[in-house]
Amino acid sequence: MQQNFWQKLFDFLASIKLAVIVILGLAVILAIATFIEAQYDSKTARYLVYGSPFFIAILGLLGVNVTFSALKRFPWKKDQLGFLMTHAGIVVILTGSFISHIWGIDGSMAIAEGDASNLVIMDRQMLFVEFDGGAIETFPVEFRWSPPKPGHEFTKVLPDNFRIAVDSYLHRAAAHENITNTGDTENPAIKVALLSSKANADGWLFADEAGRNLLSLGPLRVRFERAANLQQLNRFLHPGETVGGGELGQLHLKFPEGERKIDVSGNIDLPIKLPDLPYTVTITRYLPYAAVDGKKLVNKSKEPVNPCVELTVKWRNKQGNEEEEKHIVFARFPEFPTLFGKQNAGSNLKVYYEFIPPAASNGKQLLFIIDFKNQLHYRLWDGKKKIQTGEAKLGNEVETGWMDLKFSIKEFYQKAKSKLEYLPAPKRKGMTEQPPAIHLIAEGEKEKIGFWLLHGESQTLNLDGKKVSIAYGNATIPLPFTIQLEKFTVGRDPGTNNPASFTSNVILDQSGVFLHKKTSIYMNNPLKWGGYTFYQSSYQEIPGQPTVSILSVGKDPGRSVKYAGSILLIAGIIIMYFFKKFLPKTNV
Amino acid sequence: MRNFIIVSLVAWLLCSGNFVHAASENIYENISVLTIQDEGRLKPLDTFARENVLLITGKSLLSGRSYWELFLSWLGSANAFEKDNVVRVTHIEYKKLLGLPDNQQHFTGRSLLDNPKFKELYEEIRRLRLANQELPQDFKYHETEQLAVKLEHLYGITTRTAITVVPPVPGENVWRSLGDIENPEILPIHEKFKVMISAYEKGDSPNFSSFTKDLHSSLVSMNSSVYPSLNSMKQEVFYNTFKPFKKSWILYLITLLVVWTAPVLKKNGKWLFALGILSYVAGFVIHTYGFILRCIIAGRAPVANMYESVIWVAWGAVLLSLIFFAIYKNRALITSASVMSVIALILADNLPSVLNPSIMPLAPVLRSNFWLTTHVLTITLSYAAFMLSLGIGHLALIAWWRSPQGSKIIEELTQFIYKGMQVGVLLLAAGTILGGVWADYSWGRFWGWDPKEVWALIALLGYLAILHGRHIGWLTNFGLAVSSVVGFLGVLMAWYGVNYVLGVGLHSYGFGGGGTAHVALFTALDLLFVGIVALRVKRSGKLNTSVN
Repeated sequence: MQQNFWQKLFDFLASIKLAVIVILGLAVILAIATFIEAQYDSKTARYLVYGSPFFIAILGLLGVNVTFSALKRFPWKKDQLGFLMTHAGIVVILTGSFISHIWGIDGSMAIAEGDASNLVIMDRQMLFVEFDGGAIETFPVEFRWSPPKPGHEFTKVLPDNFRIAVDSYLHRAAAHENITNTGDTENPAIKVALLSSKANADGWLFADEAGRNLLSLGPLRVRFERAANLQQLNRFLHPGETVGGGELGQLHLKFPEGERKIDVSGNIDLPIKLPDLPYTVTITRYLPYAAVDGKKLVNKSKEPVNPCVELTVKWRNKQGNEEEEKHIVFARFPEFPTLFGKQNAGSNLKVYYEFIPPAASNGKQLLFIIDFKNQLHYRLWDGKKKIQTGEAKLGNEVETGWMDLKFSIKEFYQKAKSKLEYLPAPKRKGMTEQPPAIHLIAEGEKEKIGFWLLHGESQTLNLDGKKVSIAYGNATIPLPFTIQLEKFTVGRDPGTNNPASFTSNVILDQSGVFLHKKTSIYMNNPLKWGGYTFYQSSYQEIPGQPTVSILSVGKDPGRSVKYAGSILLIAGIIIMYFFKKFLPKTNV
Repeated sequence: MRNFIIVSLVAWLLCSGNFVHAASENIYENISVLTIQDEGRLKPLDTFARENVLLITGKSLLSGRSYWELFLSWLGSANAFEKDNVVRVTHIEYKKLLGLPDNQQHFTGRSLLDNPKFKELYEEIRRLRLANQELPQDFKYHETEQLAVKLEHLYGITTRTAITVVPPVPGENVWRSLGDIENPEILPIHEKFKVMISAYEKGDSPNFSSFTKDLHSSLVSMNSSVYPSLNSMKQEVFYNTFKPFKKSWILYLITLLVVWTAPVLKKNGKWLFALGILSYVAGFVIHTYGFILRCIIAGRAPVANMYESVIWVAWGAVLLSLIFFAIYKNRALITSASVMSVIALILADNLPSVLNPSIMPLAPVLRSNFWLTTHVLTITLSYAAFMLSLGIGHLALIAWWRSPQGSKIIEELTQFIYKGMQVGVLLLAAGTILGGVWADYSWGRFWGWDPKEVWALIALLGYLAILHGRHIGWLTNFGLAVSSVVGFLGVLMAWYGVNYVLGVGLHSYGFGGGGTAHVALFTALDLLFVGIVALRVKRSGKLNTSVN
């Protein structure tokens, strides 16, 4: 009986009927997978089908079927050579694929021109948690296909009964600022609307927040400031002088230890030791009209079209070593990361460049000021002379005198509090996707903090007096060598804008091994080193920043196995068809 | 009577294929070989004129005016944009939307450009594009975009800004346009050009010829190191006029007629059959020649787009049928291969909007790679084998319809279906693996579950299931004939569907649009045909008995 069962099972697993069923089943599943990919994307298809345990099980079943079908025919005859080779080939290919699946690496690397990297970014998302100065713990999180919900949070327990939980996930997150009048401290904010027959626009201004007290609204530059005393208010209402920190504007530096302002005029190339702070700041360059030419940031004119300042910050770290950071800051793009593509040495400096176009220029300006009695005043200014001034009342529409443009203050909060929230964003075609965001809850014995974290960002909290740092991003694998991107070039088809070739000129460096190898990576010419293959995948060009080359990184330990299987398979088919009479038979 | 019909059909086909060239003087000979830089390639003005006239008017002959007459009249003056009814709009609903008359197909560039509804739609598209939004799935956006391209091209020609025939200064690679008359270097060239055009307009062909020659040598002398050789231009002009693929489908069609008729005309049956084979081989030779010519012109194997793969698959089917014919001497092989090739080549010859015949530069990922060429050619050759099986399968189904009880012919046809599939499976397996080798070589990974890869695998699995099913007797002779049709659905999806229906993945360089509804309808009709034959065979009680 027992014998009989195993015999039957073996016969079934070795049967050609099972083969046909498995083959057809596999074909149907694969077809569905391609439609899933067309509907969603390749990651979804990979998660739901190609990389899923059930799919690997089906491939395993195919392997078992093929193996048993060959074993069943033992002892083998000479004329079965083609059959055996073909089927052995399939088993070997499947084995090779399994090896690749388990031990292979498939990631990418992003290197800005001039930078070096040794990190392979994997397509897996992770939470990185550093608790109270301890070691960084990592938690793999893949929320896209099984998002956490309230009541079904993703929870991790940290030492001392601290815990963190993720209770919400957005696959494509769009930042949304929620401004309320519920702050604890004075923080005046107004929402200004411009109305005309053609278009309406509005925006928020914060008198005390660097980088947020300026706004371009339609044809106007709008600014909001605070008058600390009567003298300042009078100067506002009866202007004639330039505003704010000399004619080249001023830098507003926010260090974790405190804030300082520096005038740009007269301070270029002079190291400035900041009073009471351990930092020395040097303004290295002032560019009135910064523009990207080739790969460099150059100045195009004396007119302040796109004012920009380059600066370096120097300090001694805890170990007493000198650290240096180089920032580039644009007056018109305060939200742009000033460290983009530059070495981050850890000053955590946020720097803003406040630049008011000089009075001689023709910019049309709408200026607001809040006085010490919490009253609002406005001034319309065309760059040369005052047009009108007055008290700005909430909800009143005021004619500007420029065409049919009117302005009005829609909201006025004295204790404004801004909270960043994320909302689901629609899919954008042909553009880089918005990053995902998670909502985290960090909980200690006494305190509980909820906040959003965008993919690629980190946050440091103070919870019950303990420092907790949490980062959300992709898993990375360090390589034993670094790749430095010297230069990135895009070649185009003659006479067109179609990119024809992308080339990364790189330098490979491996410490220990004496190696300093220059080479280029371009389409169909990958770099192979240490078992890894680097091929040119894509690139990012952002104005004012060095180009970022994106390389795909692969490591495939099953490669030679798959090649061997392929050769077996093809040779087997050829032998089966052409070296042996293989005519259709009616039955086995 | 029947003989007469066939003879006259053959005669008419031979005439329409332009097999006999009139030895008249060609006044466009010199202007044809001027070089223009267009869409990333240096091509003769002949190609540019053909492509643009076809794009703008949808025809190569418009109310008796040849493409050269049209093109030169546009070059002649900007008035052509204002006055000449040449821009084709055919979509009935779209014409209604724009308020254009139903019975007219061609309009002046100006009337369309100034059409308020067109302007409005065009602005809307621009706005959507700027905001990186997807265009709604509506014909009016698609038609507006297409019309805009036509207008842009016509405008570029009439203002001569698109006529980039002036070679670049040394060190540059962008050719300069004839319309750039503010450039002191181009102005004299433009003067020569004007003289040439006015000679043409006066009908002074000797002067037109000599002025063109003069213009040509002036252009060459501006930068002779980058100017392509006269021979290479002549070669492409020859390819344009010779139309090798049209000639080959006509010859295949003649073969089809003759081979079919041969047994009917009892007396001369053998002789006629030999003639049919001769025409078949002649068609194949011209087909091969055309293919080689295209390779030389493009400087690469023609594996870049759907048009080229259709031509190649048709060629493969004929090649395989010739090999099989040499072994088995069965005319059904010739018949089915020629039917498939004629259909494929006629489609390629007549659907420029779906199957674009222009020679384009390759996408970066495809440039200069041995493995790529081998992999694509092997895979598409497997499609040819499956297509041959499909053709024979249809013959078999027709035979089943005639004799639902089975016949000797059916036995033979079944053998060929099976053999075709075997060859196809070998080639497809090899081609898919070669694709892996190429992917590994240029992307560093052997297999990445890309939709095109996956569909090639699905097609392969489908045929493997058929071969194994046949092996254990699940598929009868009739079942195999049906399988040749059903199995080809996988090929159709891998070949056409991934690019035109799914439209995702790394193989996106071959993506296109159009024809989906027609392909779906045709497939449905074909399956209906299979179903009807199956019903008839089932009624006769043959379907359920086992294989002979």
